Amino acid sequence: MIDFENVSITYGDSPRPVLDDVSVHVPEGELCLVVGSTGSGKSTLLGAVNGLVPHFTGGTVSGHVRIAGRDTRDHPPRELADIVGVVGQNPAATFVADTVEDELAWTMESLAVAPDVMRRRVEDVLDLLGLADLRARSVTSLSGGQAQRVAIGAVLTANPRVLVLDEPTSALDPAAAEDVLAAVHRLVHDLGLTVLMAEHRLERVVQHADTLLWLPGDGTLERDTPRRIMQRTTSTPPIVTLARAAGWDPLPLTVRDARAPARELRDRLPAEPVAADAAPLGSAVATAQALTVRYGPLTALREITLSVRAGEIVALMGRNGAGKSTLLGALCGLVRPSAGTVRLGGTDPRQLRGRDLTRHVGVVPQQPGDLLYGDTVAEECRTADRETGAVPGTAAAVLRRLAGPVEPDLHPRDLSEGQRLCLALAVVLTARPPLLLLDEPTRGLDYPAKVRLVTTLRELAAEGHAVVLATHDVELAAEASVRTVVLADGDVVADGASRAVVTQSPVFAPQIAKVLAPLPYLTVADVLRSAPELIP
Amino acid sequence: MRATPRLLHPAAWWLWALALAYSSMRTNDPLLLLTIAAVAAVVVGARRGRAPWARAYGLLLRLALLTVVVTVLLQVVLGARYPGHTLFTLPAVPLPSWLGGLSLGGPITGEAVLNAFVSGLRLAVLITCFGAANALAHPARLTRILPAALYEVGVAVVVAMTFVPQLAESLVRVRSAQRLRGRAISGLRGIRGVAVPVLEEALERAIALAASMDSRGYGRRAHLPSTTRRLSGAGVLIGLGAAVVGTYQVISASGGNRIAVMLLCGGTGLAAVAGFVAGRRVRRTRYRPDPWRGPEWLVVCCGGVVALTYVLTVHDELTLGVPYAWPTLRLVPFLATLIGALPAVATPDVPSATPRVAKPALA
Amino acid sequence: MRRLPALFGALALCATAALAIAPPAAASARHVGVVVRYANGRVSAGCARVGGTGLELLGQHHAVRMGTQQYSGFVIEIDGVGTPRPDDTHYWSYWHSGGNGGWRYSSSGAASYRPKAGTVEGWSYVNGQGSAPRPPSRTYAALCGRLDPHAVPRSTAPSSSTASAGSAAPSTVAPAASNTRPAPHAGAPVSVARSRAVATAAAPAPHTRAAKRTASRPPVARSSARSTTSTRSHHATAPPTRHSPRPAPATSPAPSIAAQPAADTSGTNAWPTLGALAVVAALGVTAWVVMRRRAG
Repeated sequence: MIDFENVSITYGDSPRPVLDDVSVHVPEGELCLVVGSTGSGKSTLLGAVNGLVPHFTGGTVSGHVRIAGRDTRDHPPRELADIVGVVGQNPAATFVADTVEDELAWTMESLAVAPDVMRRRVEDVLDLLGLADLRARSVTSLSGGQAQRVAIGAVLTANPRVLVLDEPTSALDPAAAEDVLAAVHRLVHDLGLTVLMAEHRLERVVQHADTLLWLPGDGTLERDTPRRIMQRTTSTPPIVTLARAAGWDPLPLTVRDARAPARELRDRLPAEPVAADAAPLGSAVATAQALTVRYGPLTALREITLSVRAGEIVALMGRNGAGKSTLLGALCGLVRPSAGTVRLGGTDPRQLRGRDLTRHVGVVPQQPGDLLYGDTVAEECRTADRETGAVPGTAAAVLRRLAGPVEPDLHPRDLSEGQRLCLALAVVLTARPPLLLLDEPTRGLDYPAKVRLVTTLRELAAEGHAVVLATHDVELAAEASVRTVVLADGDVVADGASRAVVTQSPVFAPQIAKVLAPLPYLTVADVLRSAPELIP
Repeated sequence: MRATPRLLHPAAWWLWALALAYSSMRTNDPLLLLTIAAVAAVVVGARRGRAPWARAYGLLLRLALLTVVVTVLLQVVLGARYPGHTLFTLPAVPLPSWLGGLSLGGPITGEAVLNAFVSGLRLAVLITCFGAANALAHPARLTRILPAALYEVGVAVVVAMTFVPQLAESLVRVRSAQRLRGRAISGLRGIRGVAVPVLEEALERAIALAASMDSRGYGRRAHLPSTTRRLSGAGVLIGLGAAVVGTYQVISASGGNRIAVMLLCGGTGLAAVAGFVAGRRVRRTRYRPDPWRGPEWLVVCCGGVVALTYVLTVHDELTLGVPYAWPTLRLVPFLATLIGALPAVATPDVPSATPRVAKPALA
Repeated sequence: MRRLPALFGALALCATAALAIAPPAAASARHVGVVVRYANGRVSAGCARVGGTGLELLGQHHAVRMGTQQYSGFVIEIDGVGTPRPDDTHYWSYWHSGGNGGWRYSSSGAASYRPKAGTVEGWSYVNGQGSAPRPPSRTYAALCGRLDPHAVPRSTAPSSSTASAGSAAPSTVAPAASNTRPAPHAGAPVSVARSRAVATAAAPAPHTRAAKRTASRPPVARSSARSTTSTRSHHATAPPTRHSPRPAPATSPAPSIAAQPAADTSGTNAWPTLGALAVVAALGVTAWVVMRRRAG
């Protein structure tokens, strides 16, 4: 179905090709997962499938890419629209029509499909993806998971034979991600669609994949079964990490597969995991008293009482729209409380301006790039030093500690997601705020970057910073946090030690907790501490 | 018997609103103007769609109100003094003569306030008519009835329009982020700090959207010689331009003349022919085209009756200020305007849909 | 705004010229004479209290209607005489006089010029003539002598030349009330008949077209309009005239004032209007209620 024949892709005057003489064949009806660390060329590979690379992005392509026999060299993306459906990383930004129904029909209209066929296919797709209730909704009113499914449906109505998905679940909460993946699974199994999907969150998707395309990062490409690739890559979901440490064979990819070989491990492990050295907790850094926030008729937060102490890492979890971002906004003074109070070390954050604010609280928003506006990394660091009144070189030193050496002359935009997050963190940490707020920090981070982020957060907590992170990533929450607060519909529904809170919830439990239940182990690190013999 | 709920053809609503707007431009009678605004409001209340765009009506209504208030205030504070019945006297501030006759304060006459009110009101009614059309049928839905030759331009315009709210959203986000960095968000540096990320994001979004549209088949076309393509494209634009100029000449205060009519007819003809030629290269079909049935005719006829009545019975001298007197009711145009409200009850209801839930987001 | 450039130029001249040329105010003069020459040559002359712009002085005893839209800021009608679309040959020209009967074409706008006490203001309608006809000569003493008995006019010897005899020399200077962009169509005065109906001076029959227009108006409109103008037209007689500011002061030897202000007397005619307003309000409330119900 998809054929790459000696394909090399080079962008601009870059000396190294992103893909170097790659040949691969993806047969029809396969769900093929593209894995690899950030910057290894996943998006380039996906773009090459329907000719967006190079027709849209520029760059030089040698060799041939053929989809169902059509060469992308001769066919621009629009001439392949009836064969390949592409859904990008941010589907909500690519909607063209008003309502869900019109959006679904838009592709067919462009392809001049006969009206009666259009009508039938829209109905089919509405049922297939569970969108029937949303048909008259405006596309701007959809939640993340709904928008992702509508975007998939919109390309599906053209009856393509290949579906290309770029990070379809990275922005979604666990339940919405499940909805999307279940829909994709059904397309592969019932319709025989060929799916090519890139995703960082392997723990969510790897069990659905038939084959993996692994981009190690040196321009080569390997196609093999998930088990064999997972044995070798550095980016592995927690289950695989544990299985590889414990030497389980065959390698389990799902919780169910891992439960059987884990029986022996469960018997061996102590009932309580050996505690990690947690940072000693200090005094309260931030407190919210009966905090209520309303947006018009909508109550985003309802009488929240919460305090965060120095040295504490708090994970804020909950569905999209549960009030996580609003709570962070209230804690840093961006959102005005409708009732109740917020205090940062005794001060109302809404009274703080400029340098006073940065000395009390540091915030890394969902898009860390929002914080940055310098032309180079070095300039950004210098600005941060100047604006916070720190000794020159402070920001650069923080950045080095967080991200290792970073080319100082690069434009912040050209950094990888992980590096950009580190730069934003460095800029914020230059002012040494006692409270650090992070909104969805793991978007677009691969496993190694996530591990570095967790280490960094732990160190910051040990130095006495309080950290609050809002996240959908249950693995990150389990790894990093000592306390978890679960929000639902503006209320705090659970607040306590992470170990207790997440093991009780099937939605927020990390993979290791599910494998080792009922033992309260959350992460591979927990297991390795308690069973040191597993450490290679 | 109740008709099945459905959305009416967008063109019907726009024609109806256009007729009301035209009627409002023919009069400076505050009573008739208020009636037109009220009629539009009733129809909007009863038949607006339930999508978020329809909520813009409230916003436009506020803008209309503001127009009236600002016009009156400007007249009171700065306007040329209008002799007549003095309502009250503001302390006069003598301005140097080189300010060209502007005067601050002085006696404020009822004539001045009334005339400012009426001219503000005419503008406000025009705004509410536009708001009504927008609330009843989003302009995006109009692209579905555009001739094939204009379809691509129409989509481009509509997509560009959706960028405005997105731009505003990212503006708010970036400003918050800048504030969190403890940075001034005013001044030249502040503007740069906000503008650079916002524009970068808009550009990225535009590229992503273009890529998505292209990979969904937008712009597929049958082959047509490039000369024909260019000629027909130019023909459409020139023809439409001529038609617009002609229309303006025909309806403007200066009165119609032969050249204007010729411009209008010739331009329309040219655009139609060129559009037909250009349309041959676009291959596309329409999903569930809006039907044009009885209710659509009714809506257009109601608008037509209003406009026709105004053409026949209202001959206001718009260039002349309104006399300072109690407005007198002109029964015929007043009753005709009320006919314009008929679509509020005589058309099928709009289909229900779940109302939009606002979604707050941090930074 | 269109008239601003012209005004700037004119004012630059005027700022100095007015100071130099304007006659010194009479020692105890408190008034300004106002002479209006209508389209048919009929003349109304009166006396206005000093203070305010030329426009305001005119408005003290005359029904003035200003233009809107492209004629915003122009004097369009005085006592119902004028055209809604003034052009190069149909407009109200604006004049000044030192009080001795000689007329000088105004180089500034009536809304910005502040006449001095003891002078005379002139308004003359240009009705198709190539150049603006001078208003008839009237001296300050003749107009305001009875109100300002101690005022010493600058010169005597009022000229009794007829209104249409003289013609303005500087026809190239843009008059305050003329538009610089002629409109192709100049209609006849709209509501001549309204003021004629109560004008005391013998007036020729109004233009037939104007009469037709007026007749086509609903009767309610006419009656209320009449009551408006009748309050002002009591002085529209040949000079010397009486001074009767509004509200008429007790000291004024004015004849009985014909009517109360329009808004007070049109009570019976207001009912249809009030009814219509009620309908409009009901529609608005309906719209609001329906919108609320559907949103909730």
